[in-house]
Amino acid sequence: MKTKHITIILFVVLAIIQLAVPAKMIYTYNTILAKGKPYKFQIAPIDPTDPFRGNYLIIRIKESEIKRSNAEIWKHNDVIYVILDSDKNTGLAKIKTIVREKPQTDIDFVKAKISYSNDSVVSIDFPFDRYYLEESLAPKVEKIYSAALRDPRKVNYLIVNVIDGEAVTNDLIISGKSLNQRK
Amino acid sequence: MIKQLPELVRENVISQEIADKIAEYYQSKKKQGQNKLFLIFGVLGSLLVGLGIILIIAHNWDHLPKNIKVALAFLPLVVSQIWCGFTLVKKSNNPVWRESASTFLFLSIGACISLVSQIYHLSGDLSTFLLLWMSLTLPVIYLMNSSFASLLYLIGITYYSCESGYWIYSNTEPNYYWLLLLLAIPHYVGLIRRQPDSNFVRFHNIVIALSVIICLGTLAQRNSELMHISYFNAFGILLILEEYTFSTHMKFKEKSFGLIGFAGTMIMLFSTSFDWLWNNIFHKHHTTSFQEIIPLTISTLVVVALLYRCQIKEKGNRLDPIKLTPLFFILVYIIANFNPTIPVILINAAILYLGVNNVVRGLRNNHLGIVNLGLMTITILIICRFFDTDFSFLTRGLVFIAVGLGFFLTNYSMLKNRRNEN
Repeated sequence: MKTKHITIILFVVLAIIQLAVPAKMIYTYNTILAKGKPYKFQIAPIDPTDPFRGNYLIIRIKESEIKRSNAEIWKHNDVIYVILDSDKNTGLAKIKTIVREKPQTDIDFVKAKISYSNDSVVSIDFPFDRYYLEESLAPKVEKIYSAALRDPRKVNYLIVNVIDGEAVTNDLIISGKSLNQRK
Repeated sequence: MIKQLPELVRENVISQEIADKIAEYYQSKKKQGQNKLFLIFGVLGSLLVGLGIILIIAHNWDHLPKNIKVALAFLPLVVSQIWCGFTLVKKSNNPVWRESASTFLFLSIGACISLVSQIYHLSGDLSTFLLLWMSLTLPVIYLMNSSFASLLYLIGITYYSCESGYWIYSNTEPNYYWLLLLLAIPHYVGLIRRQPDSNFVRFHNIVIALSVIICLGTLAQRNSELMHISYFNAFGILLILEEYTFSTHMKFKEKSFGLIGFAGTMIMLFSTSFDWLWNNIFHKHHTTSFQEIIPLTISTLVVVALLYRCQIKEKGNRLDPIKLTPLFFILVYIIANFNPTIPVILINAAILYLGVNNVVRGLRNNHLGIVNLGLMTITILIICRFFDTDFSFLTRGLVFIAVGLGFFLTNYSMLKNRRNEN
């Protein structure tokens, strides 16, 4: 009987942990959304055949490369911190610099990974690379998305809230219209 | 049988008391069979419901407000936890309840995390998601004493290891597969002790063996050729464990180990029988990492210990030579550092020896299957050499005819002997 009681108590503790993990994910997201600074990352055109993978749009950030004279020291999958800034004219996010150590000062940065490096260019893999959509909306959005990416007059960007290296996707703007409101 | 009992009693073949005992015995067997059926249906039902929920996740219902979506994301998890809780309180001795509830909980954990990620557009590696999912499942195996959850967990960590070790190029994140596997072993050992002949033990044997074989390659770093030794050791261990007595209270028997071990060993031998491999790859010197040395050392020690124990038990009897292949390959690998040609000769000779040994053993024991296995080994060896030697077509043709005739004559001779015996 005692073993049974211990098992039940341990199971209750486990159940709380199992609920707490996704709950923490939501709490972290809402905290970053509320307190984080929004940055607009311009989206680059992607493979024309299939921007949609399953149930999400592939997002490729245009501002994802930086020139560095010692590019060869940056290896694929290295963890880095991207210091961000905003363009004064367009308001779009741009990369100020990249560092290996987490910045201690009060600046905006995002934790990311190195995609590749060659010659004097370092390419970055940002953690926000997808936007989930409902299946029934997919064909319509895919057309608008693909067309908008090819039109150089249209500015399309992903709004990402950033705080203390963490980033969450807020909204996707295509041809000036919010995808959150389009649904 | 039961229907014939009254007749047997009437004819005084057996007494009424014995007839009752026989009837009681078969009734209990029938009940066990029914229990197994309930268990299978219970687990299948949970699996299908859980998978159905995951498929609904894929639909991605956008028209609902976020808070409703979040509530629905948590719903299967909460329901499965209540179900498990109720099972622990009221039905802890009922395996159908335990296994079904645990299976549903396993799937609900994955569904909840992936749904929340989708609702909030949270990106992340598949390997990180799998690691989190399996970590939250591990305690369920022990608290619910669920073998099906254990099997799903083992499959899950195998997938995680492949994702982390093979499919992400140059992954810098550590691979926790071996730790996760170790943490599941106590349940497996307990299962062997309590129900040595159960189907769950058999499934665990196969899943664990295949999982280790699949994930062993993730340890390869700078000197992946060294992993050949670890693989030979792994297959050798399976061959030895096919039928092994750990103690008077713990005997192990698993036919599938013999099959996997044999097939794996032969495939490894055939693949290393080509000279270009030794000349171009094995002969070159590579640096080695700690990560490659550890499995090599541990697996070699295990093989040596098991073989030593086998030899003591077998006493005068000869060990099956294929079980010595791991040690043989280590010797060959060492020789390769000095001369890359000798290993090729030795390995081909070993394959030929194993083939001939099986033919002789099959003839002695009048076992056609073993004879044909031996002949097949020799045939495959010849086919392999067909592709990397410069013999003329005539020579190759004559050799093939000779082997083919060998097949026919051996089979004919055995069948004739059998007819004569009958």
